[in-house]
Amino acid sequence: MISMHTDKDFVSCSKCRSRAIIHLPYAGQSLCKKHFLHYLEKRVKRTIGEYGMLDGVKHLGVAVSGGKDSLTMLYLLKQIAGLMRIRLTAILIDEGIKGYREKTVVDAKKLCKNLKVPLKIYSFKKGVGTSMDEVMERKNREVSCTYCGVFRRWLLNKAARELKCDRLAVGHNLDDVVQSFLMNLFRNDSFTLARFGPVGGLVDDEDFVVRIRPLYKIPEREIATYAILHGFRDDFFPCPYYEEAFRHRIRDFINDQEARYPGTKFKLLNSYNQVRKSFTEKFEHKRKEKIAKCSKCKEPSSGTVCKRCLLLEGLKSL
Amino acid sequence: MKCIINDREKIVKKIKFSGKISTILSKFGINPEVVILKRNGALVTELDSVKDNDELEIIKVIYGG
Repeated sequence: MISMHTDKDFVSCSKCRSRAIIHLPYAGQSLCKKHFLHYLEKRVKRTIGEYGMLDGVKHLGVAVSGGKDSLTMLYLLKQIAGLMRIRLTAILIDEGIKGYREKTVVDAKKLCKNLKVPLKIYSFKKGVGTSMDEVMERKNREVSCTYCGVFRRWLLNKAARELKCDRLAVGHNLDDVVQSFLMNLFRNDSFTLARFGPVGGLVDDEDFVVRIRPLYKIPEREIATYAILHGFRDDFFPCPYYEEAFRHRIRDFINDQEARYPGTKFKLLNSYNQVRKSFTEKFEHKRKEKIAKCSKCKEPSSGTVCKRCLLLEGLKSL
Repeated sequence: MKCIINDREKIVKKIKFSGKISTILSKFGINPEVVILKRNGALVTELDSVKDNDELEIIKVIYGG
């Protein structure tokens, strides 16, 4: 028999004394459902405004995977962009991972239908030329995220441009940002450090759709809580090919530090924002450079052949 | 009490415990930063307590990828 709890057994909301559903050590407060939802929504709106993410946007592409981050982002953008009369189109990339993506596609379709947002689905197989299942027949797990990331960015940009989106919203959260910050710092990759900001891209090119990251300042655990409270997701599962050892170590390190020293993630973000400014200035000259087109696929590329085509060529030679 | 750990696989443990949830997390070596908690189906914080007849669900939510 399940035991009964009285109000005394619950931690109270720091704002209204009702039952708290989340404790935020970095803020020194616990919040009830109502105040947590308000707190998160307010921060996303503030982030969008602070970086001018939706300034001048008429048609916004929203990258949706059906996971907690992208569904939360779509829901919030619908509320915010709706008030600004911005048209939304959800773009879902199906990587071709049997038994994984099918589940989240169902959730993405459901939310898009509820919000009346059109959903366009693009597959790796048709758009890129191979599925992730096919890639993994030839490569080991340690490189799965490299292939998937390159192919996804390539296809998302192409899809958003073809749909005539002014900007593309992606669901990177605070955890993703600070992990990438440390990883690129260790790799001494200042160019990537410069471009992974709240409004992405260092190059102005008509073939590049500028990316925005509305969840830039939201911790991953809070997004998961928001998704549960709205019924977007109640189960969370990793990609079966996810095996990025370096990111694993960095993520565990940051979460250990956050548990010991609450506020670590926000402090890292602030450090990143300062570092990013210097690197952005360093690469400012690139903004005006005419970007090359890949000799094979004609998409924007930093070299004569883009990464997507190089990886595909490499797969064929195996 | 019944403790369900929802990680890559679901693990169910029966333990004798009454007290703060953070103590259970610490016993299992789970960082509160990467989980969401449900006591008898309702969201709670790691500062809440459980009794011996409770069901505690520890849902891992941070994987990345």
